[in-house]
Amino acid sequence: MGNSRKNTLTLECLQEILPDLEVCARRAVEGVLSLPTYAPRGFRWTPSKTGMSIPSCCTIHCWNTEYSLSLSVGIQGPDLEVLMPEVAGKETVLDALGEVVNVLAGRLLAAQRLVDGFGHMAMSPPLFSEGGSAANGGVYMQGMLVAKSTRVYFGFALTANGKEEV
Amino acid sequence: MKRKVVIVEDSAFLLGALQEFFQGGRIGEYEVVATGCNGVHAVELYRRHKPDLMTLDLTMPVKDGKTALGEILSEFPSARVLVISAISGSTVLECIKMGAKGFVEKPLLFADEDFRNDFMQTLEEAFADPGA
Repeated sequence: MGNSRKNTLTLECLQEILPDLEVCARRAVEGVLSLPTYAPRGFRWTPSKTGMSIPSCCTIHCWNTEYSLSLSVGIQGPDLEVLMPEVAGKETVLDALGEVVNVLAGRLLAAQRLVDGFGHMAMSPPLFSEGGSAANGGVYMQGMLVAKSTRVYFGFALTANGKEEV
Repeated sequence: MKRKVVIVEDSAFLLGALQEFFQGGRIGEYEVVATGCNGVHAVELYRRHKPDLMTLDLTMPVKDGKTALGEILSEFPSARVLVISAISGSTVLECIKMGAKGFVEKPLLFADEDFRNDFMQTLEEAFADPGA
């Protein structure tokens, strides 16, 4: 596939999967943490990564021969215990966030519109970081859900392999 | 006699939830004899315990669940392995074709009665499989 056609297809597909992404994110948080959520503002695309730094963050990398995709879920450090006070230890709450991004990635990679646009992708186990920034990539999405008065941040980045931007 | 279960799951959060499900008195007839957090553990623990059931995550560090499943089934063709994963689609179908006895999709909604009933139904179907 030529790069120009690939670029057009990619951007069209990204617009189409944005609602899928928000729905998958909500279902992942509500399913794993058993907490209701709401989105104060819709998930949105940005032309580039714009300073979304998440102190306590978990990322899953997905890939195939043509594309690489990163999905991150994060939370401000002090909110970890607010989100799940019944769970002992920061590490366990971070582990639960890892499961959120795991479920999000699984559902998103199975979404037909993403498969049609970008093909099947493999996915890594969750990778945890402290003080890092969210997903890196050419086309970037940010979103935020509120669960139990705690903000849960999402980052989604897609790169066509071998290119700076899709 | 209780059925011996080995749980292989890289999330400590979910590992605890699965242990509670199997041993928390809700279904009664299972005993978790060992747990692991990657595919290498899965193969080693199957050899050591030869459990009645192994639950196996797919996306794990060191060695993924699908690779571990293949190694376990090549050594123990009648192994009863239940895949539990956020991944769905072709990878899961491949695992079923390889010989996994069932699949449960994450998230694990143990607070939901319908989910628990579906999970138990999947377990009974795995044990009813004449090939196991």
